[in-house]
Amino acid sequence: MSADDRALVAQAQGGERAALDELLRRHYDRIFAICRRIAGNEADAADAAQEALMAIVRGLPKFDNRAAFSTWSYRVATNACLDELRRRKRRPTPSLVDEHDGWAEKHTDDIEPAFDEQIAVRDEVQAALNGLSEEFRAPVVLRDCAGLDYAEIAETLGIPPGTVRSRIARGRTKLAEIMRAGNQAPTGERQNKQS
Amino acid sequence: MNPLPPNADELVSAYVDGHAAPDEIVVVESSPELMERVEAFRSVTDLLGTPVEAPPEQKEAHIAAALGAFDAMFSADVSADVSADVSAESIEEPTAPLTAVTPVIDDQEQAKTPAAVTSLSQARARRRPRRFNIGVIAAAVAVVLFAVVAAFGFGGGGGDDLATTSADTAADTREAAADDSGDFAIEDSTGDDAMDDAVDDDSDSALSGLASAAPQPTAGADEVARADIAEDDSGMDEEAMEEDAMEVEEAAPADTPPLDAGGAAPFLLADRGFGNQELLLEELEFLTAEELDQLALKVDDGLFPGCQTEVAELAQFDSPTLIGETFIDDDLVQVHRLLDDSGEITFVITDVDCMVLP
Repeated sequence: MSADDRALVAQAQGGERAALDELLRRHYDRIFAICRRIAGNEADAADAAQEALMAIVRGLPKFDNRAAFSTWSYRVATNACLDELRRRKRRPTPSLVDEHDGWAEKHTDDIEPAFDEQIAVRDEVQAALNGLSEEFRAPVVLRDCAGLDYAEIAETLGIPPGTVRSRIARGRTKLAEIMRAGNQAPTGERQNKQS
Repeated sequence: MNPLPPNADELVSAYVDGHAAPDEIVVVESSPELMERVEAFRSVTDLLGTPVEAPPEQKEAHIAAALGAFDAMFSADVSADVSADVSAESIEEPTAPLTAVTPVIDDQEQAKTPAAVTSLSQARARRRPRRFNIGVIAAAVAVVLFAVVAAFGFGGGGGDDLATTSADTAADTREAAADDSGDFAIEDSTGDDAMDDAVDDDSDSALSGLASAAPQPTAGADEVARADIAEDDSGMDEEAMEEDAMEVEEAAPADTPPLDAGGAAPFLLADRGFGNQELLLEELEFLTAEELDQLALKVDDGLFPGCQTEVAELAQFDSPTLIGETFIDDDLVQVHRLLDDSGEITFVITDVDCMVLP
Protein backbone atom coordinates (compact mmCIF):
# COMPACT_ATOMS: atom_id res chain seq x y z
CA MET A 1 0.00 0.00 0.00
CA SER A 2 2.74 2.38 1.03
CA ALA A 3 4.84 1.60 -2.04
CA ASP A 4 1.80 2.19 -4.20
CA ASP A 5 1.26 5.48 -2.46
CA ARG A 6 4.81 6.49 -3.29
CA ALA A 7 4.32 5.74 -6.95
CA LEU A 8 1.05 7.63 -6.98
CA VAL A 9 2.63 10.58 -5.21
CA ALA A 10 5.42 10.71 -7.76
CA GLN A 11 2.93 10.61 -10.60
CA ALA A 12 0.75 13.24 -9.00
CA GLN A 13 3.76 15.46 -8.46
CA GLY A 14 4.42 15.08 -12.16
CA GLY A 15 0.96 16.39 -12.91
CA GLU A 16 -1.00 13.17 -13.31
CA ARG A 17 -4.50 13.97 -12.22
CA ALA A 18 -5.62 10.34 -12.07
CA ALA A 19 -2.87 9.53 -9.60
CA LEU A 20 -3.97 12.29 -7.26
CA ASP A 21 -7.57 11.18 -7.67
CA GLU A 22 -6.63 7.68 -6.58
CA LEU A 23 -4.57 8.93 -3.64
CA LEU A 24 -7.36 11.13 -2.37
CA ARG A 25 -9.97 8.40 -2.76
CA ARG A 26 -7.75 5.96 -0.96
CA HIS A 27 -7.31 8.19 2.07
CA TYR A 28 -10.43 10.29 2.12
CA ASP A 29 -12.41 8.08 4.50
CA ARG A 30 -9.66 8.07 7.07
CA ILE A 31 -9.11 11.79 6.70
CA PHE A 32 -12.80 12.42 7.18
CA ALA A 33 -12.91 10.09 10.17
CA ILE A 34 -10.10 12.04 11.81
CA CYS A 35 -11.89 15.27 11.09
CA ARG A 36 -15.20 13.93 12.34
CA ARG A 37 -13.68 12.70 15.57
CA ILE A 38 -11.65 15.79 16.27
CA ALA A 39 -14.09 18.41 15.05
CA GLY A 40 -17.02 16.82 16.84
CA ASN A 41 -19.77 17.55 14.34
CA GLU A 42 -20.52 16.88 10.70
CA ALA A 43 -20.44 20.45 9.47
CA ASP A 44 -17.05 21.35 10.93
CA ALA A 45 -15.69 17.96 9.92
CA ALA A 46 -16.80 18.56 6.33
CA ASP A 47 -15.16 21.99 6.30
CA ALA A 48 -11.98 20.60 7.81
CA ALA A 49 -11.88 17.64 5.42
CA GLN A 50 -12.28 19.95 2.44
CA GLU A 51 -9.58 22.24 3.72
CA ALA A 52 -7.34 19.24 4.39
CA LEU A 53 -7.69 18.05 0.80
CA MET A 54 -6.87 21.52 -0.48
CA ALA A 55 -3.85 21.69 1.80
CA ILE A 56 -2.71 18.30 0.54
CA VAL A 57 -2.94 19.51 -3.04
CA ARG A 58 -1.07 22.70 -2.21
CA GLY A 59 1.57 20.83 -0.23
CA LEU A 60 2.03 17.96 -2.67
CA PRO A 61 4.85 19.59 -4.70
CA LYS A 62 6.87 19.94 -1.50
CA PHE A 63 6.08 16.51 -0.10
CA ASP A 64 9.36 14.60 -0.02
CA ASN A 65 8.30 11.09 1.04
CA ARG A 66 10.20 11.30 4.29
CA ALA A 67 6.98 10.23 5.95
CA ALA A 68 4.38 7.94 4.45
CA PHE A 69 1.78 9.81 2.44
CA SER A 70 -0.88 8.51 4.80
CA THR A 71 0.92 9.88 7.85
CA TRP A 72 1.51 13.20 6.18
CA SER A 73 -2.05 13.51 4.96
CA TYR A 74 -3.40 12.66 8.43
CA ARG A 75 -1.14 15.30 9.85
CA VAL A 76 -2.48 17.81 7.38
CA ALA A 77 -6.02 16.76 8.26
CA THR A 78 -5.32 17.09 11.96
CA ASN A 79 -3.98 20.58 11.52
CA ALA A 80 -7.00 21.52 9.41
CA CYS A 81 -9.26 20.20 12.15
CA LEU A 82 -7.44 22.02 14.91
CA ASP A 83 -7.66 25.22 12.88
CA GLU A 84 -11.37 24.56 12.43
CA LEU A 85 -11.75 24.05 16.17
CA ARG A 86 -10.02 27.35 16.84
CA ARG A 87 -12.28 29.08 14.36
CA ARG A 88 -15.27 27.48 15.97
CA LYS A 89 -14.33 28.95 19.34
CA ARG A 90 -15.40 32.34 18.09
CA ARG A 91 -18.67 31.13 16.64
CA PRO A 92 -21.79 30.39 18.68
CA THR A 93 -22.10 26.64 19.25
CA PRO A 94 -25.11 25.25 17.41
CA SER A 95 -27.51 23.07 19.34
CA LEU A 96 -27.82 19.44 18.38
CA VAL A 97 -31.13 20.07 16.60
CA ASP A 98 -29.69 23.02 14.70
CA GLU A 99 -26.63 21.05 13.83
CA HIS A 100 -28.60 18.27 12.16
CA ASP A 101 -31.16 20.67 10.81
CA GLY A 102 -33.98 18.91 12.59
CA TRP A 103 -32.97 15.60 11.05
CA ALA A 104 -33.33 13.64 14.28
CA GLU A 105 -36.85 14.92 14.91
CA LYS A 106 -37.98 14.19 11.39
CA HIS A 107 -36.55 10.69 11.20
CA THR A 108 -36.99 9.32 14.69
CA ASP A 109 -40.03 7.26 13.79
CA ASP A 110 -38.94 5.65 10.56
CA ILE A 111 -35.37 4.57 11.16
CA GLU A 112 -34.49 0.94 11.43
CA PRO A 113 -33.59 -0.26 14.94
CA ALA A 114 -30.19 -1.55 13.81
CA PHE A 115 -29.37 1.77 12.24
CA ASP A 116 -30.68 3.49 15.33
CA GLU A 117 -28.34 1.36 17.38
CA GLN A 118 -25.38 2.27 15.17
CA ILE A 119 -26.19 5.93 15.41
CA ALA A 120 -26.50 5.62 19.16
CA VAL A 121 -23.11 3.95 19.48
CA ARG A 122 -21.53 6.47 17.15
CA ASP A 123 -23.09 9.38 18.96
CA GLU A 124 -22.05 7.89 22.26
CA VAL A 125 -18.44 7.63 21.14
CA GLN A 126 -18.53 11.11 19.70
CA ALA A 127 -20.20 12.55 22.77
CA ALA A 128 -17.53 10.98 24.92
CA LEU A 129 -14.81 12.35 22.67
CA ASN A 130 -16.39 15.79 22.76
CA GLY A 131 -16.06 15.61 26.52
CA LEU A 132 -12.28 15.55 26.14
CA SER A 133 -10.29 18.70 25.79
CA GLU A 134 -8.49 19.24 22.50
CA GLU A 135 -5.11 18.35 23.94
CA PHE A 136 -6.30 14.85 24.84
CA ARG A 137 -8.72 14.33 21.99
CA ALA A 138 -6.27 14.85 19.15
CA PRO A 139 -3.66 12.29 20.26
CA VAL A 140 -6.33 9.70 21.07
CA VAL A 141 -7.96 10.14 17.67
CA LEU A 142 -4.65 10.00 15.86
CA ARG A 143 -3.81 6.79 17.68
CA ASP A 144 -7.15 5.01 17.55
CA CYS A 145 -8.69 6.35 14.36
CA ALA A 146 -5.62 6.97 12.25
CA GLY A 147 -3.38 4.29 13.69
CA LEU A 148 -0.35 6.56 13.98
CA ASP A 149 2.39 5.51 16.38
CA TYR A 150 3.55 7.70 19.22
CA ALA A 151 6.45 9.17 17.29
CA GLU A 152 4.22 10.11 14.37
CA ILE A 153 1.67 11.65 16.70
CA ALA A 154 4.43 13.57 18.44
CA GLU A 155 5.61 14.93 15.12
CA THR A 156 2.10 15.76 14.02
CA LEU A 157 1.19 17.63 17.17
CA GLY A 158 4.60 19.05 17.91
CA ILE A 159 4.85 17.54 21.38
CA PRO A 160 7.35 15.06 22.85
CA PRO A 161 6.56 11.32 22.53
CA GLY A 162 6.43 11.00 26.32
CA THR A 163 3.69 13.63 26.38
CA VAL A 164 1.85 11.76 23.65
CA ARG A 165 1.93 8.62 25.73
CA SER A 166 0.63 10.32 28.85
CA ARG A 167 -2.05 12.29 26.99
CA ILE A 168 -3.35 9.18 25.26
CA ALA A 169 -3.49 7.41 28.59
CA ARG A 170 -5.34 10.25 30.29
CA GLY A 171 -7.64 10.64 27.33
CA ARG A 172 -8.56 6.97 27.35
CA THR A 173 -9.08 6.98 31.08
CA LYS A 174 -11.42 9.91 30.77
CA LEU A 175 -13.22 8.30 27.83
CA ALA A 176 -13.69 5.07 29.72
CA GLU A 177 -15.17 7.03 32.63
CA ILE A 178 -17.51 9.03 30.40
CA MET A 179 -18.69 5.95 28.56
CA ARG A 180 -19.16 3.97 31.72
CA ALA A 181 -21.28 6.77 33.16
CA GLY A 182 -23.12 7.13 29.85
CA ASN A 183 -23.85 3.41 29.62
CA GLN A 184 -25.67 3.43 32.94
CA ALA A 185 -28.13 6.20 32.06
CA PRO A 186 -29.03 5.07 28.55
CA THR A 187 -29.58 1.51 29.79
CA GLY A 188 -32.27 2.74 32.15
CA GLU A 189 -33.72 4.92 29.41
CA ARG A 190 -33.85 1.99 27.00
CA GLN A 191 -35.62 -0.18 29.57
CA ASN A 192 -38.20 2.57 30.11
CA LYS A 193 -38.66 2.90 26.37
CA GLN A 194 -39.30 -0.83 25.94
CA SER A 195 -41.73 -1.07 28.84
CA MET B 1 -2.61 -7.71 46.38
CA ASN B 2 0.06 -5.33 45.14
CA PRO B 3 -0.81 -1.63 45.07
CA LEU B 4 -1.22 -0.23 41.58
CA PRO B 5 1.70 1.78 40.27
CA PRO B 6 1.07 5.55 40.18
CA ASN B 7 1.18 5.61 36.39
CA ALA B 8 -1.03 2.58 36.01
CA ASP B 9 -3.20 4.04 33.25
CA GLU B 10 -0.16 5.08 31.27
CA LEU B 11 1.29 1.61 31.55
CA VAL B 12 -1.97 0.04 30.50
CA SER B 13 -2.42 2.44 27.61
CA ALA B 14 1.11 1.83 26.37
CA TYR B 15 0.52 -1.91 26.74
CA VAL B 16 -2.63 -1.72 24.63
CA ASP B 17 -0.71 0.17 21.96
CA GLY B 18 2.26 -2.20 22.03
CA HIS B 19 4.48 0.64 23.21
CA ALA B 20 5.19 -0.74 26.68
CA ALA B 21 8.75 -1.64 27.64
CA PRO B 22 9.44 -5.29 28.56
CA ASP B 23 9.52 -4.55 32.30
CA GLU B 24 6.22 -2.64 31.97
CA ILE B 25 4.67 -5.59 30.17
CA VAL B 26 5.61 -7.81 33.10
CA VAL B 27 4.02 -5.36 35.56
CA VAL B 28 0.78 -5.16 33.59
CA GLU B 29 0.42 -8.86 32.89
CA SER B 30 1.10 -9.78 36.47
CA SER B 31 -1.76 -7.67 37.78
CA PRO B 32 -5.37 -8.82 37.27
CA GLU B 33 -6.57 -5.29 37.97
CA LEU B 34 -4.36 -3.83 35.30
CA MET B 35 -5.48 -6.52 32.86
CA GLU B 36 -9.06 -5.49 33.62
CA ARG B 37 -8.14 -1.96 32.66
CA VAL B 38 -6.51 -3.28 29.55
CA GLU B 39 -9.86 -4.73 28.54
CA ALA B 40 -11.62 -1.45 29.31
CA PHE B 41 -9.13 0.50 27.23
CA ARG B 42 -9.40 -2.00 24.40
CA SER B 43 -13.13 -1.55 24.25
CA VAL B 44 -12.60 2.21 24.07
CA THR B 45 -10.09 1.89 21.25
CA ASP B 46 -12.37 -0.54 19.41
CA LEU B 47 -15.23 1.93 19.57
CA LEU B 48 -13.03 4.77 18.39
CA GLY B 49 -11.85 2.62 15.52
CA THR B 50 -15.42 2.18 14.29
CA PRO B 51 -15.46 3.41 10.70
CA VAL B 52 -16.91 6.84 10.15
CA GLU B 53 -18.25 7.16 6.66
CA ALA B 54 -18.61 10.43 4.88
CA PRO B 55 -21.70 11.01 2.76
CA PRO B 56 -20.72 9.79 -0.73
CA GLU B 57 -21.81 13.03 -2.42
CA GLN B 58 -19.68 15.02 0.01
CA LYS B 59 -16.70 12.80 -0.70
CA GLU B 60 -17.12 13.25 -4.43
CA ALA B 61 -17.54 17.01 -4.09
CA HIS B 62 -14.46 17.36 -1.90
CA ILE B 63 -12.30 15.26 -4.21
CA ALA B 64 -13.60 17.12 -7.25
CA ALA B 65 -12.76 20.48 -5.68
CA ALA B 66 -9.29 19.27 -4.76
CA LEU B 67 -8.71 17.99 -8.28
CA GLY B 68 -9.90 21.31 -9.60
CA ALA B 69 -7.32 23.08 -7.47
CA PHE B 70 -4.72 20.61 -8.73
CA ASP B 71 -5.66 21.34 -12.35
CA ALA B 72 -5.43 25.05 -11.73
CA MET B 73 -2.07 24.67 -10.03
CA PHE B 74 -0.62 22.72 -12.91
CA SER B 75 -2.20 24.82 -15.63
CA ALA B 76 -0.77 27.91 -13.91
CA ASP B 77 2.67 26.30 -13.90
CA VAL B 78 2.34 25.32 -17.53
CA SER B 79 1.12 28.80 -18.45
CA ALA B 80 4.11 30.31 -16.72
CA ASP B 81 6.45 27.95 -18.56
CA VAL B 82 4.78 28.61 -21.89
CA SER B 83 4.89 32.32 -21.26
CA ALA B 84 8.58 32.17 -20.46
CA ASP B 85 9.36 30.01 -23.48
CA VAL B 86 7.45 32.19 -25.86
CA SER B 87 9.03 35.31 -24.44
CA ALA B 88 12.47 33.84 -24.82
CA GLU B 89 11.84 33.00 -28.46
CA SER B 90 10.36 36.29 -29.50
CA ILE B 91 9.12 39.20 -27.50
CA GLU B 92 6.90 40.26 -30.39
CA GLU B 93 4.77 37.14 -30.29
CA PRO B 94 1.73 37.55 -28.06
CA THR B 95 1.76 34.93 -25.34
CA ALA B 96 -1.12 32.48 -25.25
CA PRO B 97 -2.14 33.00 -21.61
CA LEU B 98 -2.51 36.72 -22.14
CA THR B 99 -4.75 36.38 -25.15
CA ALA B 100 -6.80 33.61 -23.62
CA VAL B 101 -8.17 35.63 -20.74
CA THR B 102 -11.03 38.06 -20.71
CA PRO B 103 -9.67 41.46 -19.88
CA VAL B 104 -12.79 42.97 -18.40
CA ILE B 105 -15.12 41.31 -15.92
CA ASP B 106 -18.27 42.94 -14.73
CA ASP B 107 -19.17 42.94 -11.05
CA GLN B 108 -21.56 40.03 -11.20
CA GLU B 109 -19.17 37.86 -13.09
CA GLN B 110 -16.42 38.89 -10.76
CA ALA B 111 -18.49 37.78 -7.78
CA LYS B 112 -18.88 34.37 -9.38
CA THR B 113 -15.21 34.09 -10.30
CA PRO B 114 -13.79 31.22 -8.34
CA ALA B 115 -11.15 31.84 -5.75
CA ALA B 116 -7.55 32.07 -6.74
CA VAL B 117 -4.38 31.80 -4.81
CA THR B 118 -2.16 34.79 -5.24
CA SER B 119 1.21 33.47 -4.37
CA LEU B 120 4.28 35.11 -3.04
CA SER B 121 6.22 34.20 -6.12
CA GLN B 122 3.80 36.16 -8.25
CA ALA B 123 3.98 39.11 -5.91
CA ARG B 124 7.74 38.92 -5.93
CA ALA B 125 7.85 38.58 -9.68
CA ARG B 126 6.28 41.97 -9.83
CA ARG B 127 8.90 43.43 -7.57
CA ARG B 128 11.93 42.28 -9.46
CA PRO B 129 11.27 44.49 -12.44
CA ARG B 130 11.87 47.64 -10.42
CA ARG B 131 15.46 46.66 -9.93
CA PHE B 132 15.67 45.78 -13.61
CA ASN B 133 14.22 49.17 -14.51
CA ILE B 134 16.97 50.94 -12.67
CA GLY B 135 19.48 48.97 -14.69
CA VAL B 136 17.76 49.85 -17.95
CA ILE B 137 17.50 53.51 -17.05
CA ALA B 138 21.16 53.52 -16.04
CA ALA B 139 21.97 51.99 -19.40
CA ALA B 140 19.94 54.66 -21.12
CA VAL B 141 21.82 57.37 -19.27
CA ALA B 142 25.08 55.75 -20.32
CA VAL B 143 23.90 55.79 -23.92
CA VAL B 144 23.03 59.47 -23.66
CA LEU B 145 26.47 60.25 -22.32
CA PHE B 146 28.05 58.12 -25.00
CA ALA B 147 26.00 59.88 -27.65
CA VAL B 148 27.02 63.31 -26.35
CA VAL B 149 30.67 62.32 -26.31
CA ALA B 150 30.36 60.79 -29.77
CA ALA B 151 28.65 63.90 -31.16
CA PHE B 152 30.99 66.46 -29.74
CA GLY B 153 34.19 64.56 -29.24
CA PHE B 154 34.67 62.54 -32.40
CA GLY B 155 32.82 64.29 -35.27
CA GLY B 156 32.86 62.90 -38.90
CA GLY B 157 30.16 61.28 -41.08
CA GLY B 158 30.12 57.93 -39.37
CA GLY B 159 30.11 59.65 -36.05
CA ASP B 160 27.10 61.75 -37.05
CA ASP B 161 25.13 58.67 -37.92
CA LEU B 162 26.15 57.10 -34.72
CA ALA B 163 25.24 60.17 -32.71
CA THR B 164 21.88 60.53 -34.42
CA THR B 165 20.91 56.95 -33.84
CA SER B 166 22.13 57.05 -30.31
CA ALA B 167 20.29 60.25 -29.59
CA ASP B 168 17.10 58.83 -31.08
CA THR B 169 17.39 55.75 -29.03
CA ALA B 170 18.21 57.73 -25.95
CA ALA B 171 15.24 59.97 -26.57
CA ASP B 172 12.98 56.95 -26.94
CA THR B 173 14.39 55.48 -23.83
CA ARG B 174 14.10 58.71 -21.85
CA GLU B 175 10.53 59.10 -23.02
CA ALA B 176 9.71 55.62 -21.89
CA ALA B 177 11.53 56.12 -18.64
CA ALA B 178 9.67 59.35 -17.98
CA ASP B 179 6.32 57.70 -18.57
CA ASP B 180 4.32 56.55 -15.55
CA SER B 181 6.08 58.72 -13.03
CA GLY B 182 9.48 57.42 -13.80
CA ASP B 183 8.63 53.77 -14.30
CA PHE B 184 9.99 52.30 -17.49
CA ALA B 185 6.89 51.13 -19.31
CA ILE B 186 8.35 48.91 -21.96
CA GLU B 187 4.91 47.70 -23.02
CA ASP B 188 3.97 51.27 -23.90
CA SER B 189 4.28 51.81 -27.63
CA THR B 190 7.30 54.07 -27.25
CA GLY B 191 8.90 51.64 -24.89
CA ASP B 192 8.18 48.84 -27.31
CA ASP B 193 10.00 50.72 -30.03
CA ALA B 194 12.94 51.25 -27.79
CA MET B 195 13.15 47.63 -26.88
CA ASP B 196 12.49 46.42 -30.40
CA ASP B 197 15.26 48.68 -31.64
CA ALA B 198 17.55 47.30 -29.03
CA VAL B 199 16.85 43.78 -30.21
CA ASP B 200 16.55 44.27 -33.94
CA ASP B 201 19.41 46.61 -34.68
CA ASP B 202 22.46 45.07 -33.16
CA SER B 203 24.68 46.46 -35.91
CA ASP B 204 24.26 49.96 -34.57
CA SER B 205 27.08 50.53 -32.14
CA ALA B 206 25.10 52.77 -29.82
CA LEU B 207 22.29 50.29 -29.64
CA SER B 208 24.78 47.53 -29.13
CA GLY B 209 25.93 49.50 -26.16
CA LEU B 210 22.39 49.63 -24.84
CA ALA B 211 21.80 45.99 -25.58
CA SER B 212 24.94 44.90 -23.83
CA ALA B 213 24.53 47.24 -20.88
CA ALA B 214 20.93 46.28 -20.29
CA PRO B 215 19.70 42.76 -19.59
CA GLN B 216 18.72 40.87 -22.72
CA PRO B 217 15.02 40.92 -23.54
CA THR B 218 14.32 37.40 -22.40
CA ALA B 219 11.44 36.10 -20.36
CA GLY B 220 12.51 38.38 -17.56
CA ALA B 221 12.25 41.44 -19.74
CA ASP B 222 8.84 40.40 -20.96
CA GLU B 223 7.82 39.89 -17.39
CA VAL B 224 9.12 43.35 -16.60
CA ALA B 225 6.92 44.87 -19.24
CA ARG B 226 3.75 43.18 -18.09
CA ALA B 227 4.49 43.56 -14.42
CA ASP B 228 5.10 47.28 -14.66
CA ILE B 229 1.83 47.78 -16.43
CA ALA B 230 0.04 45.91 -13.71
CA GLU B 231 1.71 47.94 -11.01
CA ASP B 232 1.18 51.44 -12.21
CA ASP B 233 -1.98 52.54 -13.97
CA SER B 234 -1.43 56.28 -13.82
CA GLY B 235 -1.23 57.98 -17.19
CA MET B 236 -1.97 54.84 -19.16
CA ASP B 237 -3.92 54.81 -22.34
CA GLU B 238 -6.87 52.51 -22.88
CA GLU B 239 -4.84 49.81 -24.55
CA ALA B 240 -2.42 49.75 -21.69
CA MET B 241 -5.30 49.52 -19.24
CA GLU B 242 -6.62 46.50 -21.07
CA GLU B 243 -3.23 44.91 -20.87
CA ASP B 244 -3.23 45.74 -17.22
CA ALA B 245 -6.47 43.83 -16.79
CA MET B 246 -4.93 40.93 -18.66
CA GLU B 247 -2.00 40.94 -16.31
CA VAL B 248 -4.27 40.80 -13.31
CA GLU B 249 -6.10 37.92 -14.90
CA GLU B 250 -2.86 36.17 -15.57
CA ALA B 251 -1.89 36.47 -11.91
CA ALA B 252 -5.20 34.91 -10.90
CA PRO B 253 -6.16 32.44 -13.62
CA ALA B 254 -9.82 32.64 -14.56
CA ASP B 255 -10.33 28.92 -14.36
CA THR B 256 -8.96 28.57 -10.84
CA PRO B 257 -11.45 26.49 -8.88
CA PRO B 258 -13.01 27.63 -5.63
CA LEU B 259 -10.73 27.15 -2.69
CA ASP B 260 -13.49 28.10 -0.30
CA ALA B 261 -15.85 25.39 -1.42
CA GLY B 262 -16.05 24.15 2.13
CA GLY B 263 -16.77 27.60 3.49
CA ALA B 264 -13.19 28.37 4.43
CA ALA B 265 -11.57 31.58 3.31
CA PRO B 266 -9.22 31.44 0.37
CA PHE B 267 -5.67 31.17 1.43
CA LEU B 268 -3.73 34.24 0.59
CA LEU B 269 -0.04 33.96 -0.09
CA ALA B 270 -0.35 30.34 0.72
CA ASP B 271 3.03 29.06 -0.33
CA ARG B 272 4.49 29.85 3.07
CA GLY B 273 3.85 31.75 6.25
CA PHE B 274 5.60 34.86 7.48
CA GLY B 275 8.09 35.40 10.25
CA ASN B 276 6.35 38.49 11.47
CA GLN B 277 3.54 40.87 10.70
CA GLU B 278 5.74 43.40 8.96
CA LEU B 279 6.83 40.86 6.37
CA LEU B 280 3.22 39.98 5.67
CA LEU B 281 2.24 43.63 5.30
CA GLU B 282 5.20 44.18 3.03
CA GLU B 283 3.95 41.44 0.71
CA LEU B 284 0.37 42.68 0.86
CA GLU B 285 1.49 46.04 -0.48
CA PHE B 286 2.33 44.36 -3.75
CA LEU B 287 -1.19 43.14 -4.35
CA THR B 288 -3.10 45.42 -6.64
CA ALA B 289 -6.47 46.89 -5.67
CA GLU B 290 -8.11 44.64 -8.26
CA GLU B 291 -6.54 41.54 -6.80
CA LEU B 292 -7.67 42.55 -3.34
CA ASP B 293 -11.19 43.14 -4.66
CA GLN B 294 -11.27 39.71 -6.20
CA LEU B 295 -9.97 38.04 -3.07
CA ALA B 296 -12.64 39.77 -0.97
CA LEU B 297 -15.34 38.67 -3.38
CA LYS B 298 -14.35 35.05 -3.02
CA VAL B 299 -16.01 34.90 0.37
CA ASP B 300 -19.21 36.62 -0.65
CA ASP B 301 -22.64 34.96 -0.89
CA GLY B 302 -23.64 36.08 2.56
CA LEU B 303 -20.83 34.19 4.15
CA PHE B 304 -18.78 36.28 6.51
CA PRO B 305 -16.34 33.78 7.86
CA GLY B 306 -14.01 34.67 10.62
CA CYS B 307 -14.04 37.85 12.53
CA GLN B 308 -16.07 40.25 10.44
CA THR B 309 -19.14 39.98 12.64
CA GLU B 310 -17.17 40.10 15.86
CA VAL B 311 -14.56 42.78 15.40
CA ALA B 312 -16.08 46.25 15.63
CA GLU B 313 -13.76 47.75 13.01
CA LEU B 314 -14.84 45.11 10.53
CA ALA B 315 -18.51 44.69 11.44
CA GLN B 316 -19.37 48.16 10.18
CA PHE B 317 -18.57 47.07 6.63
CA ASP B 318 -21.40 45.54 4.65
CA SER B 319 -19.15 44.02 2.07
CA PRO B 320 -16.76 41.20 2.90
CA THR B 321 -13.45 42.34 4.24
CA LEU B 322 -11.68 39.01 4.50
CA ILE B 323 -9.14 38.51 1.74
CA GLY B 324 -7.49 35.41 3.06
CA GLU B 325 -5.64 33.53 5.70
CA THR B 326 -2.01 32.83 6.25
CA PHE B 327 0.42 32.12 9.03
CA ILE B 328 2.60 34.44 11.06
CA ASP B 329 5.23 32.52 12.94
CA ASP B 330 3.11 29.37 12.48
CA ASP B 331 0.00 30.99 13.95
CA LEU B 332 -3.04 31.16 11.72
CA VAL B 333 -4.17 34.71 11.03
CA GLN B 334 -6.88 36.27 8.92
CA VAL B 335 -6.16 39.25 6.73
CA HIS B 336 -8.91 41.80 6.20
CA ARG B 337 -8.88 44.66 3.74
CA LEU B 338 -10.69 47.87 4.60
CA LEU B 339 -11.37 50.45 1.95
CA ASP B 340 -12.35 53.96 2.98
CA ASP B 341 -14.22 56.51 0.86
CA SER B 342 -11.02 57.97 -0.48
CA GLY B 343 -9.93 54.54 -1.69
CA GLU B 344 -7.21 54.18 0.90
CA ILE B 345 -6.59 50.58 1.85
CA THR B 346 -5.98 49.48 5.42
CA PHE B 347 -5.14 45.93 6.39
CA VAL B 348 -6.47 44.44 9.60
CA ILE B 349 -4.90 41.22 10.79
CA THR B 350 -6.64 39.10 13.38
CA ASP B 351 -5.64 35.95 15.17
CA VAL B 352 -7.87 32.89 15.49
CA ASP B 353 -9.60 34.41 18.51
CA CYS B 354 -10.53 37.52 16.53
CA MET B 355 -8.07 39.67 18.39
CA VAL B 356 -6.73 42.39 16.15
CA LEU B 357 -2.96 42.17 16.05
CA PRO B 358 -1.36 45.43 17.14
